Parts: sequence; structure tokens; C-alpha cells
Amino acid sequence: MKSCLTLGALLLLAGCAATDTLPDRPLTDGQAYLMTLHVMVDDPLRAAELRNALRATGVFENVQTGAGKPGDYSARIQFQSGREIPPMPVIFLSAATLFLMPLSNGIDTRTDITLLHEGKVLKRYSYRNLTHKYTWLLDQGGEMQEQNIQRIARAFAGDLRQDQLLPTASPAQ
Amino acid sequence: MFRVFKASALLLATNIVSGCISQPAAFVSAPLQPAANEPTTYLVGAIGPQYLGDGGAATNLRLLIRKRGSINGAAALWEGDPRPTPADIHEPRAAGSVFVMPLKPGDYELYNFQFWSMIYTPGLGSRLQSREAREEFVLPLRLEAGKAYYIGEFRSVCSQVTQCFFAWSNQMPRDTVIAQHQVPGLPVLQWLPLDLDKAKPFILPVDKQTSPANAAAETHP
Repeated sequence: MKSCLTLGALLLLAGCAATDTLPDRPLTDGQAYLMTLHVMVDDPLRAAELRNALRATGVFENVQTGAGKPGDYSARIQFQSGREIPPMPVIFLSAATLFLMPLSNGIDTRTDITLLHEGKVLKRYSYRNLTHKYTWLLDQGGEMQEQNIQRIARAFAGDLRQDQLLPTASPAQ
Repeated sequence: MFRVFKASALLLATNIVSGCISQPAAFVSAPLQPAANEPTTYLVGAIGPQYLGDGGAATNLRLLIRKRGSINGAAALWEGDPRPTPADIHEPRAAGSVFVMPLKPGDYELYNFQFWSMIYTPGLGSRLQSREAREEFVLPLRLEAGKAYYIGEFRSVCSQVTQCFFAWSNQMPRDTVIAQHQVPGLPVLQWLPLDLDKAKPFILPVDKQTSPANAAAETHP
């Protein structure tokens, strides 16, 4: 009986955790920051969120808005994000069970990033992340949305560090 | 049975009352808290409001710090009623708490703040509102084991309750005494320079007084 309850609880918890198609990139601690990156995003509503996600990677000395001055490095980001909402009959069914039946929810994000220096394209990066989670109707999925963008930001920061296209800044204090 | 009930009731009442009286000025999330025998580093500073004549003041202030590249964080906070942080600083038209934050050694970042204020809207009543930087900043903090670092005093100045910034100054001599009183055996405080240009216009340095510590601040911008 106890083992059945434990298994049930584990399955419930596992089902409620968000899953991502893009693997998480562990970033090594203690390395020097990369130079300041100027980031332009084609979606003004999500631009600050994307830049904050890049700042939170701990890879860049600074992440600023706009194109920057001559000699600065910049990234142009094309961002498309769509939401997968369950069909209406399922939503009604969930409502009929007082929202005890979890609903399948997903965010599909495609991000194309062009790295530029002195007007020249250094490299193009492309990422797609489908974050999926079983949520209750009243769960707006804010955490899922945050996780979706953070995965992409960490993947880009990891690739940039690996490619060594951006010089390192002066050592951290 | 009655004794158990009585003891539980007393414990509950004590917890409720102590919880209502005060709270520490530093909050560290569990993954960043050093264990008893682990190497420890300390981040020290002061935080509090400056009350202006006709302006409002935030009722709850927070400086947000995170482990570099991690979701784990810590916060320095000042709060008035109902759960005030210690009233360590007594100055005219000002209040403040000195925070001593024990952390695991490593790379950290000061990245944002929060000003919580009570906003009154006619017809809707009062509600708490938080203000923070929409675009975060990155102020690196490299903290080594066995050392204590001082990062200055952050004093909120509000022209209205919704328009606040932190006036930053160096109060190391004053805060050293308070911090060492809070944590006996605290290592000697050393100055940790912050590149505050990155945090403009949210954190602005002010020349409050001339002191040897301020002179050190000028030589290490």
C-alpha cells in the first residue's frame, strides 16, 4: 500500500514537472566574463525578458540594448513563440472535475540569433525549445515560460563561449 | 496530555510573537548557506530609506544577489512594520539595517532591487506594489573563503512612492562596528569596489562625507 502511494506521488510529481526538448547546458563557474554584448530583439514585448535571461547566464560582462558603438559586438534576435492550448472539450472536462484533472500545456519557441561585429556577420545560431507541462487551468505557466527562454539563453551563451567568437573581458574582481 | 498541549500552545504563541517582532536583514536561500564546518564568506552592507519632506518612502526594500549563472539567490532587506528588520542606524529622517550575509565562497552578482510601497487608489483602496529594474544589471562580486566584504550603504530616496532610487555611499567605519557586534568573530571587513556605472540610474553614488574609506572608494571606482 505504502509503495503504491509513493509510486503514485512520484508519477504525479514527475507529470507536473516541465520538460524541454532543448537540453540544459551547464556553464562552468569561475571563468572570465565575455565582453559586453548589445542585443536587439524583434519582439519588443519580450526583449527585456530575453536580455535578462542572457544576463542570468553569468557569461557576459554586460548585456545592453541597441546596436552599440563601432567596435562593439552585437546580436540580432528573431524570436517567435507560440502556445499550445488544449482543446476546449478537455478544458470543459477539467472544469467539470473542479480543475483536478491536469491539462497539457506547451510553449514552442524558435529563436534565430545573428552575431555581428563591425557590420559583419560572425555566425548564425538557431534554437528551438518546446517546453511542456501538465498544469491546472488556473496555473498560467509563468514559470514554464521563464524556463523556456532560460534554456535558449544558456544554450546560446554556452555555444558562444565554445566558439570563442567574443573576446573575454578583463578578469572578474 | 494537557502538558503537551500547553507546551505546544506556548511554543506556537512564542513563534507567532517572535515572527511579528522582527526579522534579519539578510536572507540566503538554502543552497547558498554554508554548513557549520564549511568555508564561509560574508557580504556586509547597509540598507534603509531616507525620508524626504513631502515625498513618500518605500515600506520594504530589497537588494537581490544571485550565484553567478545559477537560479539560487540571496537578498539584503529593510522592512518597517509589521516585521521590521533591526534598527541599526539612527539618523535624522532616516532608518536602516546593517546586513551580514553568510555565503558559500564563489562568484556572485548584484543584479536587481525591489521597492515595495503601499499605493492608494481612490475607490479601489490600498495595495502593495513592487518596483524593480525592467532591464537588470550585472555587478560582479567575487567572494573568497574566510573573508568579509563591505559593499556600502544603499539608501532609498523617493520623490513619490513610485519614483525611487538608491543613493549609495561608503559608511564602512560605522557599519564595521555594527556588523562585528552582530557576528562576533567576523573577519576584518575589506572594501569590495562595485562598478556602479552599470547600475545607473537605479543606484547613484553620493558624496555623503569625507572619510578614509571614501578616499579608498575614489581610488577603486
